[in-house]
Amino acid sequence: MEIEFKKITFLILACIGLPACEKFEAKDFFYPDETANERFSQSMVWDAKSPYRELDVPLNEYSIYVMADSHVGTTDNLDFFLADAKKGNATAVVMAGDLTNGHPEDYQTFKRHMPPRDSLPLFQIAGNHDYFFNGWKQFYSLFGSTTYLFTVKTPQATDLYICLDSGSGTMGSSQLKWLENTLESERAKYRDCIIFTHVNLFRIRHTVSTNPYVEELQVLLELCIKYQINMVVAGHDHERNAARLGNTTHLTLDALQDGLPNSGYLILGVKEGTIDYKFINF
Amino acid sequence: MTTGRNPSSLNNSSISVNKRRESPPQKNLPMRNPLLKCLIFPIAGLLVSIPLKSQISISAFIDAGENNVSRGPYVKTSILGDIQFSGSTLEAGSVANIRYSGHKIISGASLSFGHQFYIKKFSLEVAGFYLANPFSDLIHESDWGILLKSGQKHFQYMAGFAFRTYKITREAMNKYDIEANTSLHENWNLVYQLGYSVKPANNKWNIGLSVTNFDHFLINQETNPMIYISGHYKISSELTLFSEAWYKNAGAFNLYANYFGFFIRTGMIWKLNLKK
Repeated sequence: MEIEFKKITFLILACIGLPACEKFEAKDFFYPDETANERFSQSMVWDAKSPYRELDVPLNEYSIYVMADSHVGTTDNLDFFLADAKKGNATAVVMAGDLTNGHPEDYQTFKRHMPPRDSLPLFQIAGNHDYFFNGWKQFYSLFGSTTYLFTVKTPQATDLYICLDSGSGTMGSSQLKWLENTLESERAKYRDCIIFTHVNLFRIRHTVSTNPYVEELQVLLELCIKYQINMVVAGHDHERNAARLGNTTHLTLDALQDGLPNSGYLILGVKEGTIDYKFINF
Repeated sequence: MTTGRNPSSLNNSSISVNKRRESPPQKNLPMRNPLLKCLIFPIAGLLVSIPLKSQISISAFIDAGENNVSRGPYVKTSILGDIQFSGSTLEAGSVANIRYSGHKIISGASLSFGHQFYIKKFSLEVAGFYLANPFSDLIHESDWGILLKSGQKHFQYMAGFAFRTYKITREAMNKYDIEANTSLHENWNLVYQLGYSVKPANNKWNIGLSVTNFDHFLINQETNPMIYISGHYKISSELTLFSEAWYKNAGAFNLYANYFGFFIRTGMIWKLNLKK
């Protein structure tokens, strides 16, 4: 009996430890190329050189197009999403992680399909797949920071958008401290506040995708209440979900990836402080 | 390639999110003592246990460590009491933060009831448990679930499921004008433990390695396993000293891991046999 258990234990460990394929590197399961704190430090260097963007809109109504998990490779859905954002006169486009599968050629493909920056403000956030195969270096060289702010100013008020790096399943101690300090110093100056990140916070459905550690989630939930975060938008789980806890709406996006039966994206509409959201599926 | 994709035919769903409300002045709340709330389980457990005249076991330990949210080192102390009678075990406990930045002093309590039975010579214990995690003044967490435990000479196994609920406190509801959606229930979560020890379980001393997502007052998501090395030494039939070193790695199932934290646990188990 005990020999059987030993065999099962060995098989489980082997299944976890050994696989390496074109989708990921097994070593990242144990030790990543860089830590969340290291990425945060580099993001702050970038942010210091490129202060956050302030988008002005002439009306009290605007829209933000959001996608996640395009996993380029192929770009059919990505192209459609960007065309729709342009057609819909989006104020900004947020890309919430897993934009690529981490390969250098994926990044080059992704970059080639981006519209000129002055034609459509783009805000990229990295996800766990973007880090595979030493992908953070590619991400950083092409898009820069993955932790930053941007604002949208209407004639009536200004809204705050916070983009966070959660691709390692934790935000890391430095980024968490930055988030708390930012909310403490900035939140009261703005009307609405929306957080974008890659990893979804809750397990509303049963899934094998990772969420932040429970102890970290507790801190994030407390911050959401204390600083009256209107919305947290994430991807990662590849299946849409909407939940509300207190005054915060938590949205998880369908993946934009080509070939999935539920591929889709999200449109946020902000009108006089009220936020509408609409899931769009292909 | 966008042929056949007409935006007018897209499936969509639209929902409006209420505008943020200004916070009203904070109302005076009735006094709620979280300490009493959390101690109710161990107190109840002891009250039940005394008249039963069975074996009582008290476990006390200290955790010292650090993690991504602790803002430096933290120290916690915990006490767990259990009573064993007729193959059943009732256990209750609570944890207090001695030093943990931003956390409340009493941050967890647990209550569980299990029963051991045999299938041929194979021993199994089924246990139901409830955890209260009042980690903040604004929001609390609670978990309940069912576990199946077993073990061989050198291996220990546990598997089960748990349900997690986050609930916004009345203090937060009043302070931040929260009128609805005050709780959120997560889907079921797999709870597991797999352990190996170098000596048989009842040996005077032992060293082991385990992987689990369950600690006494915390259940991680099934995708966030924790690894720990443990050792114990039985000073006498009544007293055992033990120590554990836990390592927490975030993002394992993201396949892109990152250090989250570690802690060292040191404590003692005192067994009192009241059958004498």
